[in-house]
Amino acid sequence: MSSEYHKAFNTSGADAREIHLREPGPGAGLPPPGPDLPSSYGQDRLILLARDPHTLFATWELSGGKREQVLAQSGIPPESARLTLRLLKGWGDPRFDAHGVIVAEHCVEGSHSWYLHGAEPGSVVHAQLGLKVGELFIPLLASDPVPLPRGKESDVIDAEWMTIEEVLERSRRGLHADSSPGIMPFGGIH
Amino acid sequence: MLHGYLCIVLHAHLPFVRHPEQPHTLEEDWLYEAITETYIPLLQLMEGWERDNIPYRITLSLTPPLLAMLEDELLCYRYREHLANLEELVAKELIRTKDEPRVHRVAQMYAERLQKTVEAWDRYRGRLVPAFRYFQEHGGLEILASAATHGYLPLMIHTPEMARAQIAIGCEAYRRAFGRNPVGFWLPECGYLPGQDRWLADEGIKYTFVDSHGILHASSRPRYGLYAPLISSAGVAVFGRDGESSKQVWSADEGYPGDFDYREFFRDIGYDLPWEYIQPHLKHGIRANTGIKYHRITGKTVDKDIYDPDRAAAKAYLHASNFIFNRERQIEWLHSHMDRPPIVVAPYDAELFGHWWFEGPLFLDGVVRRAAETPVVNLITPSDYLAMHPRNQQAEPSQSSWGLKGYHEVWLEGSNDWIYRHLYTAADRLVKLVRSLPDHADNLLRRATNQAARELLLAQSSDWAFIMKTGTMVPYAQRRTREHIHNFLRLDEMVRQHRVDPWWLESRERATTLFPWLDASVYYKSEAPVA
Repeated sequence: MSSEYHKAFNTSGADAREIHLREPGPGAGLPPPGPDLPSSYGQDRLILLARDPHTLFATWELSGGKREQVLAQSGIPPESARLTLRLLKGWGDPRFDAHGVIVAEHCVEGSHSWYLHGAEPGSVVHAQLGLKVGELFIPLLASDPVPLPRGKESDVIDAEWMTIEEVLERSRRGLHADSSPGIMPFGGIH
Repeated sequence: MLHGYLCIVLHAHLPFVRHPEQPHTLEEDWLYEAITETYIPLLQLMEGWERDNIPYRITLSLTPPLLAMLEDELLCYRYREHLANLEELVAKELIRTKDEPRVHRVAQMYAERLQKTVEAWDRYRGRLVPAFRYFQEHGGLEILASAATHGYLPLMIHTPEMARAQIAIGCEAYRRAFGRNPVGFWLPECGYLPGQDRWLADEGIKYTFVDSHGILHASSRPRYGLYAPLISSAGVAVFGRDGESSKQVWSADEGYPGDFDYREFFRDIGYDLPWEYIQPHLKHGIRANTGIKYHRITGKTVDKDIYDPDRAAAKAYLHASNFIFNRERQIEWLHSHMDRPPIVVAPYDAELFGHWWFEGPLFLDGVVRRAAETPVVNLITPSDYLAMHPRNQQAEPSQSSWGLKGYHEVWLEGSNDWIYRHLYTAADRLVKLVRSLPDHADNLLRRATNQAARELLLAQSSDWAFIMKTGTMVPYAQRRTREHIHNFLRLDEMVRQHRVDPWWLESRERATTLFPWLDASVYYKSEAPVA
């Protein structure tokens, strides 16, 4: 039992948080997994989520016919196009082109989600899902931008001292307090 | 001489596990066990400190799903039945063990504890929320608000209406339970995303908590490290979790709960005794925990010794003294490097104390009583601290959580990442639904819209993704997620088509009794996303 004890106690790596939710449960009479959910919602959407300073998760849905429609308009044979997921940084940065700089690129044919690596911790990235034909990339979907956790100490060492009331007053007067790199205006690039 | 402060924060939370459709479920047992082993013992501790004039200061979160279940008539009725069943079992155990003195002594302990539990339950008339409220109003307890259904807020980054509503509804549940505005807020899983603090500020929240690296990796380096709060750009004080004091309690290798004298959690008579004997008391028809356990951890062996309550209690108070001794040394050292008294913030899951770590309430009792004796360390709440030290460093804490590896992986990995496509779609649909609801919409449409919001809130509970990740009770978590999203989609369709099934709607309202006052217009407010 001791090994079980320590195993359970250490499930999260170091802690016993929420152990009450990890206790031995019903060994028999398990409930059914529940109703089936739609495999498709008939929408075009790419969601990008940061998991940690180095990893992101992308999941997408392409409505029926969108891919074929784009290919037909471009006159590209369907068999020559590969569904491709791109991770990009620098969106909206005037130093780069309209889409930013490619950080990672994967052929995701047949998939509906993907884990992405290679972005710089603390940076803001976004993703594009598109069709790649040779060197040509035809974007189909774009995600909203996502900030990655910094994952290390800040280089900024200047300390500003304020009360809660002073911060609120400054906010009310439109004088923005020190803002995190995670805060950025919404651009909406669906 | 006073050198600094210790802030103990207990996070009490259970997902909403009310199942009126079945007479007995293992998930409802989570609530009953936590009431018996943690929530009532916490109240008993505070009663004891008040009686003995001990100047305690404890910070406690009681999440909205837990508040709803503690106030639910059906669950309270069932809890009393649960206690009656335990009383019968303990009475049988006193007879069964009478020829085994060491085991019998443990059975007597359970009988005495159970009697006190029943007395407390009856004294509080089965209503624990007003009891906690009493200790906030008249004692040393400070109660925190939390998110509506313990939704994991950082992963709602692209649907700000969802995160904002989780916060707003959570604060409203607090106001209704405790008759005052919340001052502090427990972020589920300590999940922090810069920018979401603005919605805490909108609700009048003055402080919250993050894990250590949330402070240490802030936008500018924290001058006092973890031992003073930062003020976020939205004007919320953010306190950092102290790793040293946490490790002493949580760590598998160094933590107190693993002491060999403490009660062994995994040796329960629900599994150990013959089926014919125990079956009448296992209402689910399968082997399960009863809460009656006769062994101590003993060591890294399957051959467990009989539990000795007196020896375990003595060890708990010894550990409490050691904990305070270490805080004294820690705070003295910090004080010598700071020009203000340090605050050491030690947050724990409340259910650790009593349920998982049987002797945990005794440890807490020892910590509070020992802290009252030492001149070096005072117990404090964040509100007390901010009143004394209102000026703090302004910086934005970093994105973080207290989960494994410190970020979002527990709630976003291979076992549970499938939920986000559905949750995001449902979130978008809910916002559209609420915004498209005509002003003259009839009551049935409004009720259906509110129920749709309730179903999505329940699907958003961080517990389901957590359970899927940890690998126990997975079918239950999957089922809950699927059912709530399925119900949401059905309600969304009904409202859009103006064809609400009133009987089915009523059945869902009866099954999900939390937030009966919910008004889905809370999702109407336009917000710029955090990204």
